[in-house]
Amino acid sequence: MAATFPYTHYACPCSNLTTPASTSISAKRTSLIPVDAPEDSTFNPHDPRANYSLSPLDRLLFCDECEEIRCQRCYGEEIIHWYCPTCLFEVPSSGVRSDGNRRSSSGEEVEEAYILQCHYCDWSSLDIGVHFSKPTKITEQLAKQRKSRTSGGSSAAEAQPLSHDETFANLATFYKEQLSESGDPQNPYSNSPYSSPNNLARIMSLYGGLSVNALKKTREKPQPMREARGEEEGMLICSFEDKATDDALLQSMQNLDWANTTTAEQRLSAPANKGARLVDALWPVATRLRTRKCRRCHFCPQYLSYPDPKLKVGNLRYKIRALALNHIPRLSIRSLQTSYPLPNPAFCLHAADLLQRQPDIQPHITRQYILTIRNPILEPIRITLATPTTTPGRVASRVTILCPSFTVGPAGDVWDEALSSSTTSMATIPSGNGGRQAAMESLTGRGADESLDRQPEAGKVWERTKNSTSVVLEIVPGALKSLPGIVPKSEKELEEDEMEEGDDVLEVPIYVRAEWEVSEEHDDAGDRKGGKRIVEADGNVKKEMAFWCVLGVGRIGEGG
Amino acid sequence: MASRPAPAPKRPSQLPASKPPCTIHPSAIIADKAQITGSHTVEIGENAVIHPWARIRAEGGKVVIGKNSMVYEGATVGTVDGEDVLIGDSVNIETGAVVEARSVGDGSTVEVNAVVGKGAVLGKWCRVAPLECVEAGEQLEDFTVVYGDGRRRVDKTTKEHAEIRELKRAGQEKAVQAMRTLIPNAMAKWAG
Repeated sequence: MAATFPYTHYACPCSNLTTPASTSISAKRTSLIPVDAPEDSTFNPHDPRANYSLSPLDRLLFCDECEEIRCQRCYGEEIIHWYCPTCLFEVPSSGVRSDGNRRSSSGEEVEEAYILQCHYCDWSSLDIGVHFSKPTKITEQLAKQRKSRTSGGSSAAEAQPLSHDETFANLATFYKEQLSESGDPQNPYSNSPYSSPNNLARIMSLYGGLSVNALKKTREKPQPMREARGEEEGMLICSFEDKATDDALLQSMQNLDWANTTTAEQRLSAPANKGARLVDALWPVATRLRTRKCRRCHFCPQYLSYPDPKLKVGNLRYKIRALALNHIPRLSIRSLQTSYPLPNPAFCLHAADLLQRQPDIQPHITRQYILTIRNPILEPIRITLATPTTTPGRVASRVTILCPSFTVGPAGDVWDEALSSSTTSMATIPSGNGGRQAAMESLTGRGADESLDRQPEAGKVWERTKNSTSVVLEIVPGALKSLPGIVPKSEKELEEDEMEEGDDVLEVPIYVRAEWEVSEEHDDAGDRKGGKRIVEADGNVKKEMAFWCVLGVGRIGEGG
Repeated sequence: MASRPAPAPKRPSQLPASKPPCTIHPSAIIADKAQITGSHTVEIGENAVIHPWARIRAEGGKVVIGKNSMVYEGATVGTVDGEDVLIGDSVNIETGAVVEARSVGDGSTVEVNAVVGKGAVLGKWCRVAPLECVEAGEQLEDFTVVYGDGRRRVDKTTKEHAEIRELKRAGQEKAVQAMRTLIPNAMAKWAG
């Protein structure tokens, strides 16, 4: 939820794919949009689940092929390559798999042997007794030496606790077994209409089942997953019996100073260092590699974001970058009465300005807002807006869009705009007399004294610029507390009256539908979809796009 | 006619007013733009290299620079109002460092822009990391490393392995040889 008003959040169509919530106890919870057309149901921004599908514009990407918005849950990240942050050396993925995600560094020569040495503090691996036979594959040599040390120590005593690596391996195996036993579905995108394999198995068993094994599995109640119960399953037992080593450790910690004990950061740097309490016991760890990632749509293998793999470039450049910003009509809202322009929190000079809360909206007083739609694509679009008469949720505010259907011009080059200045007609501004007033009008987009007198009219567009159109919204905020009635309320009603967090925020859900036409040559998506498009008589392809979005207007104050 | 000695020709302004009595080994290299000032003696050992713009102040006491040692650009060795400063053999005083120590042991390094206070005593094979500070009067044992924000540690590697010390010494010799070829010698200006 954005901290500052006003904001716009867009709903990703992935919310359509979730199955409708099972009947819930509280009547307050309305389900999100089912698969049908949105005329039947409304997007409720106060629904606790709404947060999962609403995102601000800067988090959304757009898939060209599917021609839909993709939110963070709808795209997957893949690693393009690994590189060392210090020297920008790219490690091929085969190297990463064998050496682990580390980069090895080179050392100095001592006779025939090699050592690791720090140029700053003169520590060298001879301090822990480690030297290498060759300057390459240092990670491998380090791992071998580490293994021979720890295993050499533990083979002496029998009741030694298992090493960290063995414990980890046991635990991983145990959890894998538990997962397969409890029948947890791994695939969240299965196309089956049954919500879980248990359901499917149950229904199948009604019809006789497939085989003996399947029947047996369905009859057995699947065990819930449990935790590890012993050392062979991976549980690490902390015992107080080994007092001698603990005492010795405490004694040495007292004798040596603070600088000789390890920090948490050092202990967490590698699994080998987990138990090291003194600096002497630390094991050298190679530099952690960094990755460069790309993003792909989940539903089609289209890249949404692909950074340039060339590392030596100073700035991060992208080969492919498909932002929702550039593809969907963008909405923004501002109050008609406030001064123009609004203070943007990014440009605040003083910290005090940021903390300044915007004044609360008074309930029951009609306010007018200007809703601006900006069009990023190169064709003019026809927009249809729809919103429920009263906002869903606990606080019902009445919303009216004065002009729900209009067109927005195409975005284009800056040159187009400058050269064709006559077409940027402000329909509502009277022709100037050629003097200073006309020049001011053309700069600010509207007459200086006109804005005070204009009244919003139903059915008319408020303002039109080259690629944006503004219309007026009238909102009557509802009251937070319902009026006290004569009959005292029952307990249930009192419960419902309690405000939850976020209920006082005035959010207006708006359904936006955009239609436009693309000439056949320019339409790339058509071939990929396999001839699904319908070509009109004049060689244009009709395109349509629709989504829900939520406008955060402000907070409703008390004082109804 | 009584001959009056001709007035001495005007010296170029870069020469200090007082040139200290110097004992410079013939194999030492002293750059032209180095500055040696003061009234106490200055001894510069065999193969030592004094880089341009290095400053040796023999004003508070004498300054001795051991063999194979180097004083880099902008470094200051010697005190104005303190005591003698003795720099050992194979010592590097790097760029911008200020060394007013009583003595700096053999094989030590005072790195870039470090400060060593008056009367401090640095042992052998010590290392003062860049921008670090050694307090006045502080005594550092042999093999001490001053690093981080004022931390000190003992350099086990150099302490326990003679071959490392040998390597460092050989390395310093090679560095000195390289510097000798780069800096034109103006020792004659300061000798005698």
